[in-house]
Amino acid sequence: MELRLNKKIYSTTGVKECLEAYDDFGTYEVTTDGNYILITITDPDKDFETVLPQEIANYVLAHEIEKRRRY
Amino acid sequence: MATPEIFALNAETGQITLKLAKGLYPMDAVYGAAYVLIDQAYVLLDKDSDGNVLVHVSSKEEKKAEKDLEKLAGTFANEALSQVLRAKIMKAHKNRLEAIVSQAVAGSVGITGGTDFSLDVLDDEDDDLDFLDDPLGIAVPWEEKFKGAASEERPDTREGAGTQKNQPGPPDSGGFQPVKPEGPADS
Repeated sequence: MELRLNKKIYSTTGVKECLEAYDDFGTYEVTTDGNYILITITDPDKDFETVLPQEIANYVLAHEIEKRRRY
Repeated sequence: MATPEIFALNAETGQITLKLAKGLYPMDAVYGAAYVLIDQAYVLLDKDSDGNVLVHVSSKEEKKAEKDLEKLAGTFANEALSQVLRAKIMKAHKNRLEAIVSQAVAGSVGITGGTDFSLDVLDDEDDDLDFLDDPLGIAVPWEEKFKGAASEERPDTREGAGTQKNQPGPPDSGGFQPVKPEGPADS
């Protein structure tokens, strides 16, 4: 399962911070692929398997927006 | 293209993609609109090679009618527009807003216009008083304060005081006092 986030919109440090919050729901590997941050999700929680990438995407986006508002 | 364009719509997956032309909306407006929509839908932002912003909005429910997805997209577009207008108003009235807020804050700490606002004024106050100190003498008990007066005879219980008629008592002072007509009519 993969999630691709554009580097121009999302920051790698923000993504890593957010993934800590989702530690209990799967195992994550963060790499880069050109202009994209690639999150590979393995061993996801069965109950949240279908929504996990989208939930992470929402969380990372909210985190990014809140960070921008602070500075 | 003057409005957000529906780039792709898939009712099966419940996803709609909006394409915002580069420069049409500032990124702050896009972020603001996305933030508002986050509790209703899954939002993923992206940029294409031309710099246009792609907004992927997925319904949180598994299957959603096309109409509902279009409604979500419309909500996003409206919110983006609202964010742009808000930013424009903020920019246009920035100085005025700052003046109003600074005056309100200064007023709340007792500083009048023309003086520099600083919280140092609070430190300058000579506040070495203990809670038991009473420089204004307001903590004296009533019995102590009126000790002498309490031992005196009350004017209304004095001998002969009852013979005085139509004398207004303390509660009557200031009230309506009818004047009895004098002369033969009284007898």
